[in-house]
Amino acid sequence: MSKKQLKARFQKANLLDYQKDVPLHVEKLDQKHRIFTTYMMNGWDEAKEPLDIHFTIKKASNIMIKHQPLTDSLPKEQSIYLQCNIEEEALALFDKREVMPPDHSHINQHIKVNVNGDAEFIWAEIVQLNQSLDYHYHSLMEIWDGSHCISYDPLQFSSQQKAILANHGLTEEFSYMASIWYISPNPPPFDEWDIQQRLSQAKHHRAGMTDLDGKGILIRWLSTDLSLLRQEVEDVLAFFDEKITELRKWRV
Amino acid sequence: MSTTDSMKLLQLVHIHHSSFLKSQVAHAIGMEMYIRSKQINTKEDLASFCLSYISNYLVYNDAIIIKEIFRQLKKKDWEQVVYLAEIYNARKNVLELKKTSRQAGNRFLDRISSIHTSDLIEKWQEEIKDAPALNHYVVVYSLYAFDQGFDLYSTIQTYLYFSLTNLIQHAVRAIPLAPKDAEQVTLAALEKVYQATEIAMSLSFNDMKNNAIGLEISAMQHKYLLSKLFIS
Repeated sequence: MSKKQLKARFQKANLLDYQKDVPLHVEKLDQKHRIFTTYMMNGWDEAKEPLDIHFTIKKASNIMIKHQPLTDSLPKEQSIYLQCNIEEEALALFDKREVMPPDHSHINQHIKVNVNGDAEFIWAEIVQLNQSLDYHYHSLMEIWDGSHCISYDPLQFSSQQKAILANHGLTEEFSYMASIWYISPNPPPFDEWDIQQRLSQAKHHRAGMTDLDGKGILIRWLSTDLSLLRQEVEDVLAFFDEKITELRKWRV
Repeated sequence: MSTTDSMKLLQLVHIHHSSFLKSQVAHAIGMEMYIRSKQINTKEDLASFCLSYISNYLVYNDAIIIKEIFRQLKKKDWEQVVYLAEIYNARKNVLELKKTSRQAGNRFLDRISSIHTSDLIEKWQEEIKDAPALNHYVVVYSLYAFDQGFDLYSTIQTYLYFSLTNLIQHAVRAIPLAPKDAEQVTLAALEKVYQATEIAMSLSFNDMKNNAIGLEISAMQHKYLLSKLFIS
């Protein structure tokens, strides 16, 4: 099966250059934002072929990339490779992506990000762990700052592991897992308690946050309540947006 | 020489002894939240946690790193050894777990370098002068075990066994459990240690995986406890 490719270099207000194979494409949205230029990425959840996506965020650009809302179920076979190079002073915010693996599916994604100098990167994702379906989800998040690896996170969940995953310390009986990565070489523009107060510890819902060795933060959730989980992920992203805007509006 | 030689086996067992200042508090940090919330309250709960820990967390991370470091040292590919240390460091998402693992690595390296001269250990000491964050216990342990000529199977198996018994010792005090219950959990988990070692021998770098999300979240929450049973 031939690969579908998408290559784009984003600069402050426009795409510097752009190559695509249908159905992949990015589209600039007519959304007014004080600092972000917002794009919608389409086709990611439609293509049955392996996807090979290369993005470059040019120096000092603030780019928000939204995922097309899922209208149909994901293809049963998905193989995605996303490489993103973020240049100095730039920021790439990938808005919340939801992965709901259908029955008999095999999803494999590899995201490799390089942040240069004081570049920043934000990624949010919710994954459904539906043990009543036959699925396999494998995601590797690799974040590098030159030759220093900030994070290497090879998530792997599958219905074949149902019995073992139910044990204490793994995904247990939770139906959803979510992560938000905020990578920044500088201390984030907020206090950690600002985030903590947005994470509830409701029944059947757990959340935690960690510092990534001074290079950012990771927030993780396990939940059985999708609406609460969505609300918290969106709340944290909205808070990041507010704080980043406060900080970066002076640079525009 | 293989660790099937009694003398080598004794040496390998001895480096896990508490006199080597090894710290396996790391995963007790994650376990503490489960104990406090009464999710780990019985020997059956502890057995479930040990199963996740041995058959999943350690096999698909630490055991693979030990195996890969042995492989690269055999090939004399030092750059790849450093790369593996870099990946292991990045793979530990939670800062408290990272710090504890480094602290154990620092103590272990200090101790072995004070009693034993080795070009390999000296080379590693040089390497981490500019990158102290890479000095994790599992890396130093792998380097030392390779340098001493211990066989890979025993190196992994003893690592898993002593990680298990350390964790259970912490759990017994924190839950608390009767010594008899702790022995039953340990004896039942021995088969898992054996199976995990067999599995580890067939794995490679690309098999690394993370599905210990509950453990990660617990370790993240541990930072915010006002009083702690286990600290890094």
